[in-house]
Amino acid sequence: MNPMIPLIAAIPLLAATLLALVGKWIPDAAADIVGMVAAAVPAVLAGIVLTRTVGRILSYWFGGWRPRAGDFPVAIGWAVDRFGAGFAFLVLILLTSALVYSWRYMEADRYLYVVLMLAFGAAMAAFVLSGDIFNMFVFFELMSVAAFALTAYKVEETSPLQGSFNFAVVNTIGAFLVLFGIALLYGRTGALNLAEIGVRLTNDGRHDGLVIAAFAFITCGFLVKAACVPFHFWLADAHATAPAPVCLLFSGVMVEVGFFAIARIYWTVFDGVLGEFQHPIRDVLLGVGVVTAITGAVMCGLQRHVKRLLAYSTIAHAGCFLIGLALLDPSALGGAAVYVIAHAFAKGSLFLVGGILLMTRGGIDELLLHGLGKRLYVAAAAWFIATLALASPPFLGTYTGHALIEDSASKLGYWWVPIVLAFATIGSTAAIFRAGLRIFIGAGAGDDPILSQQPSESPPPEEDPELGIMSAVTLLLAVAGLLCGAWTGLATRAVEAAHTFTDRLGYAAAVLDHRVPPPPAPETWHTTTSSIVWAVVTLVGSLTIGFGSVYRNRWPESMTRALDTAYGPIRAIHSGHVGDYVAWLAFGTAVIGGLFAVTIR
Amino acid sequence: MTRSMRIGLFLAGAAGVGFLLVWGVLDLPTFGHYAGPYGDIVSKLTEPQRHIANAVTAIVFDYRGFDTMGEELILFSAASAVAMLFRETREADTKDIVDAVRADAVNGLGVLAAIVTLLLAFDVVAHGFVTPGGGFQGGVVFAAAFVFVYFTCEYHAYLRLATTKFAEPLESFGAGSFVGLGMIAFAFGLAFMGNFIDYGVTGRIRSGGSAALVNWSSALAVAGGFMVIFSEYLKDNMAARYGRTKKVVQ
Amino acid sequence: MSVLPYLLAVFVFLVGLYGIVSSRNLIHIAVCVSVCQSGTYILLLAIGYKTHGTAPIFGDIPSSRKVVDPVVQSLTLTDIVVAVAVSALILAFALKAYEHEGTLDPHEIVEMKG
Repeated sequence: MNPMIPLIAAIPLLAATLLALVGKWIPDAAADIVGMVAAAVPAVLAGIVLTRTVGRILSYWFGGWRPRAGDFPVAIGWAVDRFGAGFAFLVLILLTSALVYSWRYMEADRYLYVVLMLAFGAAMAAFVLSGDIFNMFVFFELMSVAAFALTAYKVEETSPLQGSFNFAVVNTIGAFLVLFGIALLYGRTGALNLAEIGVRLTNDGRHDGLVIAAFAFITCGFLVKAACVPFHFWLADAHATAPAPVCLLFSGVMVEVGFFAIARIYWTVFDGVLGEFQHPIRDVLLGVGVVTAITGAVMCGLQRHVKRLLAYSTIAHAGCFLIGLALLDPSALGGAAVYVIAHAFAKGSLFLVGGILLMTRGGIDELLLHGLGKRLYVAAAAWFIATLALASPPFLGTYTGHALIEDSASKLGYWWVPIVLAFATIGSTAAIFRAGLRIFIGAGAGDDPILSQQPSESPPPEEDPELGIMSAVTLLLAVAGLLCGAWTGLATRAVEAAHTFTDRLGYAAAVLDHRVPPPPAPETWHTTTSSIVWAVVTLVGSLTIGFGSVYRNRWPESMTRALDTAYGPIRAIHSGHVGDYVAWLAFGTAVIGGLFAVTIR
Repeated sequence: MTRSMRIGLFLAGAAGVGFLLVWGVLDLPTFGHYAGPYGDIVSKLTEPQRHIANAVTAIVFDYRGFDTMGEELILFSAASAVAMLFRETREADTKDIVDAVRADAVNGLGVLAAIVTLLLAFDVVAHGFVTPGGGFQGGVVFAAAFVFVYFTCEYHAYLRLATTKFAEPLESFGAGSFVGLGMIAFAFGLAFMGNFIDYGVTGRIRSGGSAALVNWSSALAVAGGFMVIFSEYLKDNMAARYGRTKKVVQ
Repeated sequence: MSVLPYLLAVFVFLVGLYGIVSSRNLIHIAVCVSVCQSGTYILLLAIGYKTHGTAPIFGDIPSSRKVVDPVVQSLTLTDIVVAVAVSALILAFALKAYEHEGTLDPHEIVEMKG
């Protein structure tokens, strides 16, 4: 058992507690450095572990209670496969970037910010490495608590409190749904280790109310974190008010952790007993994905608060991730994984630009910032590079992810998936492009009646902001996002990893019987014409519609008014009121669970 | 959405969720006839293997000790978060507030209760492996002893005793030592959170091996965490009541 | 009726949810979240119960004696700590919102919508 594995989570957690102990007496810069080191070292360890997981699953049993082959797993076990290690590596890289960016960005009592960030990152890394369902739940809660707190960091204003309150209440109820699912599974199988539950559930063979309810609740609970419709309302509120480096982590990995959980639990626990129902499960989840992608794309265009705009873009992409996942196919899953990586870097970079704008220009409203970004050359470059990455042009940015998902969907007969992906991509990226044109080029008018007005955010106090470091990190992330699409090796590795991930019997054999699963067959990249066509469509579509919307003052007024009326209902639904959110949560769970109940017989 | 629309939407949803939940629980083993293997295995193993009499504590600190570590960190994060949220009001600003209860009988009984509670706390923690109890329960009781002081005596005394200068390090040390004890196992060539002390005798205070140390870590962390949370709320409340808050920026 | 404890857990959870949806007070919402949490405890503990089983503490009783499931008890213990942490945060948010707006009505603290 490799000691590096637990250290990936233990080092940042220990550092967090030490920092809390001495934080009041050390200079802020020291706290920042401790944070960066405590994030960078586990990132390196995660990278090393990643190299060791090629075609293998590494097990780690805590407390030394390694069960003999065939024994019941009494202790908590982690099962590190390539996907898990890769995701943990991504989390820690982003955490390190966020902490470097935050160098001297926050005000006094900065050590508490670093403490919470370290706890947040460590929890996400531990979550994806874990092989025990309750252990996953514990780290899920740790990640949530840290996230709620970080959202409310700017305590002087009221919007952060709305954002964090809604975030906390809605996500906690999502966690309860997951807990109900865990309790039901425990009641049936008596186990908490994912592999063991899967084996027992499959041997039992019943796919009755308990199994379907457990699957529905666990899926819906994690869909809340994954911000899918109708559980998505909290995301825009939280992103709008959390500090920019925190938003980087939220959009980059926190939302994606929800998808990881659904995929992991499906493929280790439920695939055996619900495997014959792949078709209905696929259809239901695809439905949720489509609605989410469209909602996100539509709402994105209505925003003038830059961070809220980016948040809705995340929701649109989340819908696309779910589509990739819902196809229940290793190719599509690999595609979703690469898509997540490219999106994380690109979207993260966009949020960091938002932070730079807030710090240097004192605002985050697209219309009020009209033309004010003109001399921020590095930030502008990062913004447009990241926008290009999200527009998914051929062999750049999210292209490989899109291509894999589209090809997989076509093979399975879902010919309309590329259309939905294109709509979501164009809708959200056009709005981002529009904002960039308005802010950095000064194009278009300074007013647009369709966009929703939001309260302004106060900039962080300027203690000689280290603009150089912030800009460098921002640009680096944007370029990384762009290059993801160029490296087809990443895509093929992701698909190979997906084959291991979706191999339920291999996972169980590795964890419980200590048998090495057969390595997956090596994948090669095939470029299909349709993927290139769609890539060009999304690129051209995003740029054109972006240009078109920035000059909305030149549109005929009747068109603007018609649009405004059409958007009315969907805009009104996003009311900001927590009671509405929870009502939608209940309704959504009932619908999704009901669909599962009816189709899985 | 109007209130009635919202409640209508919710009731429709709740009907569905309720149906699914009921449908799910009806397939559970009949109440009282649970047959899962996990509990039985642990109950059989806890005495011979770990010399721990309390199976629940054995699971919490030993078999599933890593979960408990995560949970300690949750409490730690929440306490740090509350401290962060209330950072605008300085504890130093409330140093002179007394807010006393003016009844000698109540004061006296309160002090007595506080002392007894403190002793009880140590007892509950120490006997965690032998009787119902353990780090969590004991930690909460420990924090309660200080709360007694505020409720029956005065804020000033509470602040002197439970100042965040004491509570925060207590909590950080507790949480940190939990993780640290896990790492110390590495020095002995064991897995994270492996046991590195001899197990002692079942039924005695000194049993359970290094899980006993982890028990104390969690007691400190929980006590510290609750004290920090309570102190922060109280500080905010006292400052608001006695006019020590800074002007709020709208 | 041996399913009553399970049904009780479901009922408590739904009542808590209704409380959140219909609430006009942020602190009331925080308490309703705790109520929902109690529903999950009831379910967990009810699952682990064994008729004629006693507490899983073997100080005075032989190992062979029938005891209730200790695993769900430890899960509930963990859960309670999580509930405390989350409640503490939600209440802190509510308190700060009151300081800013002078009201605890969830409608009044809405600054962002659409």
